[in-house]
Amino acid sequence: MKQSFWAKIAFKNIFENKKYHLANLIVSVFTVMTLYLYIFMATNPGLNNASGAASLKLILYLGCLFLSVVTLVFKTYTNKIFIKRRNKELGLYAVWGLESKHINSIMTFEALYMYLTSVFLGILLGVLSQRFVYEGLFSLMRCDSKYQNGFMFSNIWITMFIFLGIDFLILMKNKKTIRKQQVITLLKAEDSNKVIKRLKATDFIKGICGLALIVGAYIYVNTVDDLINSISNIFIALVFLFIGSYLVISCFVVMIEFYLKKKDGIYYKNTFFTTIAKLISRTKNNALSLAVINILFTCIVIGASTTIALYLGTDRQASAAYKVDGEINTKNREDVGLVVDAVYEAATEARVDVETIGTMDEYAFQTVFDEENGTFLNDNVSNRSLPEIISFVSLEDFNKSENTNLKLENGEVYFVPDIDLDMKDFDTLNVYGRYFKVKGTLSPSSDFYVDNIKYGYKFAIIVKDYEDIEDIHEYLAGKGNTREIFHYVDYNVSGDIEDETRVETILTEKLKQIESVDYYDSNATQKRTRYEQNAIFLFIGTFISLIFVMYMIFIMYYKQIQEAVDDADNVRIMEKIGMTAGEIKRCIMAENGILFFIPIGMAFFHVIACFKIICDLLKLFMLTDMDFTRICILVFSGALLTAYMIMYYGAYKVYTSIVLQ
Amino acid sequence: MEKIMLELWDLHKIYSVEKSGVKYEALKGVDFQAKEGDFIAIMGESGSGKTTTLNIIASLDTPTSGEVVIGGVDVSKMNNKEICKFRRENLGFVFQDFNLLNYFTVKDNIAFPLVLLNKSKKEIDEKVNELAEQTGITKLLDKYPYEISGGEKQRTAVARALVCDPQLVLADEPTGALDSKNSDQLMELFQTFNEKGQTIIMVTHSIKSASKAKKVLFLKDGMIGNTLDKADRNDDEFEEEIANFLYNSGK
Repeated sequence: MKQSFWAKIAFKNIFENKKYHLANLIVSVFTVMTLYLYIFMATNPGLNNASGAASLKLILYLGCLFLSVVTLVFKTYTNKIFIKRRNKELGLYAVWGLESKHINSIMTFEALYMYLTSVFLGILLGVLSQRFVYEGLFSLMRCDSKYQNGFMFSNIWITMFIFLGIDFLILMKNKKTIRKQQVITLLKAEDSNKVIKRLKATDFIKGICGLALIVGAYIYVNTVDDLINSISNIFIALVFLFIGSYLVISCFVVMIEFYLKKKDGIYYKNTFFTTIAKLISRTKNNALSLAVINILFTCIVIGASTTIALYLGTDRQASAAYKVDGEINTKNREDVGLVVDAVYEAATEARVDVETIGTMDEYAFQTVFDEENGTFLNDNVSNRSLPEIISFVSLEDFNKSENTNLKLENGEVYFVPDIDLDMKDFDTLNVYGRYFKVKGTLSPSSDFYVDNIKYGYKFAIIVKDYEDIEDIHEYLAGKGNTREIFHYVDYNVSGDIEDETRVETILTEKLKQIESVDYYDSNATQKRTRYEQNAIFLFIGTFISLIFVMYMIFIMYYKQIQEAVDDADNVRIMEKIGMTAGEIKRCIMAENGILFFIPIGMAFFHVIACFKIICDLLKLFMLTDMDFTRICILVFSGALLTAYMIMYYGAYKVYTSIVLQ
Repeated sequence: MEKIMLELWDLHKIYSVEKSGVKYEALKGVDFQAKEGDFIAIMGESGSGKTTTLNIIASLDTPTSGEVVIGGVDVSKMNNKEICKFRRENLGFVFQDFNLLNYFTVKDNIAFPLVLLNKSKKEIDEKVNELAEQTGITKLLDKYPYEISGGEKQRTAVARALVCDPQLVLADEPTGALDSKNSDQLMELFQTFNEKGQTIIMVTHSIKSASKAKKVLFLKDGMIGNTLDKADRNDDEFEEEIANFLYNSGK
């Protein structure tokens, strides 16, 4: 037969099953649009106007990669649900005498129609909204940039190619699945859901294992100190968390349902009888979908509220970066005076006053401190979660910083251990083989640390003068240490953040003329760059979260329709036996409510348990206001829950209309 | 004087197709009465109105005109809620495809109508065990419907139909999905319950099944054409009479 015949059949199939295809198509269109917009923004020349354009582009490209992988995973999963529904139909084709190549043709045409429709609509929406998205993003970035069209056909080709690859892989998988199955298996596939799995001893073990995995993951994420070095372990803990969730839903929840069934006083009540019996059947059969909803809800709440909190907290992060308004680092001690002059000049030009200005020489590098023996050596074994840093500072700078009047003799030092560590007193300290006589152990004020964020444990050794710093530098250089002595200038100016930004702009230009200046950073710079970076995170996070929301709702909606079709016959029987429509609706509301809110309830537990790690993550981005983070998570969770409930109610109405029609 | 359990008065049912406006008259004035303890089989060709009649008696469908009175109560004047209540308290159903709920065990399937009536666990256990014993499915109570045979499923359906001590048991082709051995066993079961006083109305195509009833009504083109009374004949004699009647009426 001609291919056009199969093409018509495929079109008719999609049209007849539009109830099932529509939700799938909406998610696909939105995903295509999102990917197109990511690529459009990453390749747009306007982005070069942002200060950290290279890193912003990298973040966007990583967003594209992440989105492509996520799309492949979720499309494969939703397709699995979909193809299971169609097994009977495909089996009937075979019974009617269609060869597998004919069935393949139908499936290929269906996939082609869906692909072309989603790509066409997705790219069209993307092109139509690209200007709005561009201007919105730059407005969020607080970056002045005129709209640059940046339209490139290559962006469209790349988007089409990525989705072609994803849809092709899924089509191949479907063809393989169908080819491998016998006709009779296809025809009976739908009946497999009607089998009620009994509770086995292994279910009990699996349920307990699931709980153990969740509790273990909770404990780990709440006790881990070194976030950066534990990222891979945290990822494993999250995988455990989700495996645990699946096991808890598929086994532990079913165990509870069986327990309720055993309780005669509960089970044999009109209100609970059908609800408990149906839940036992449906929970196990839907466990994977429920676990996926659980994962998606958790990821959306954590991902989206984190990016929202990051963006809304940008001012907080910027002001939290340094205790001073700005800090300059020069490699040349002779240029410190030039830097100080530049600060005063910039302040005058910006019409503000320099309130404080300080200088400090510091020779610092990473080390490992053996607390038992008072030894600094790279070969020591570290048992601390953050890196350890040794820093040599002159007594003069220390006295200035701390407003003290301490004195030292030749060969003597003061030891200043980290503010967060309790240390015993040492008589001598061994620094890579050189011994220092310790006159005393000091506890500095928090002003001694310029940064607000703790990157490591700092051990300062206060030496008599700068010559001593040079001496130890020379000694350690001979042992292969390549770190240089740095000379810091920090300042505070009068006025608000706008004034600081003016000073920063002028000072940046002036410092370019001093070659030895290694870097200059200020809270104003932090604010600008963080707005750009956080806006990009928000842009990526929002769209990916929306896609996750769509997949979550799609799975919930689709599962309800699927269940409704399967449940229609049961409802007929219930009506014959004498259940009223109201009683049936109440039962459905209770069953579906419990079923589809189990993963949401669990997701809230996950979010609460992950709160510490969310806070730690945000601290890395210098968002230290945890009350603010808590509010962001609460508000976002509430909004998401409301959206889920509305969609749930809509799906419930569809369910009841199917079974009671 | 024997109590009249079921009365059908001038029952009409017209189906109309909304889009085309085409009308089809399925029942054209069905009248009959069943006394308490009757066992009536309704026979007829496909499309004669058997199942429509049964569905109207079961209040699963409404007549276009006419009255259905069960135990002195006119069910055709009830609203939906009243019908549901009446159905769960007074009627028992046995269907060709068993209509068991897959997520219930055999025991729970039987108990379901009692739970809807808010009976206590003790009452439920007593009644379910009693009926399970009478229908010979005691050992199957903990099994799910997909774990038992067709005959066992139909016995379960019978037990469920009788569990509320209904005024009337309505059976729609109860042996349609069973082999001859299971059909015989099921009809024996019906006879046993009927002998204990249970009123049964059964729609069937099977002459053998109909021969177990006390009376056979023949529906033709939406009306009751003939009636055969079993009287003192045994099952075989009655079966032969029904067969002869059908043979002669088909000439």
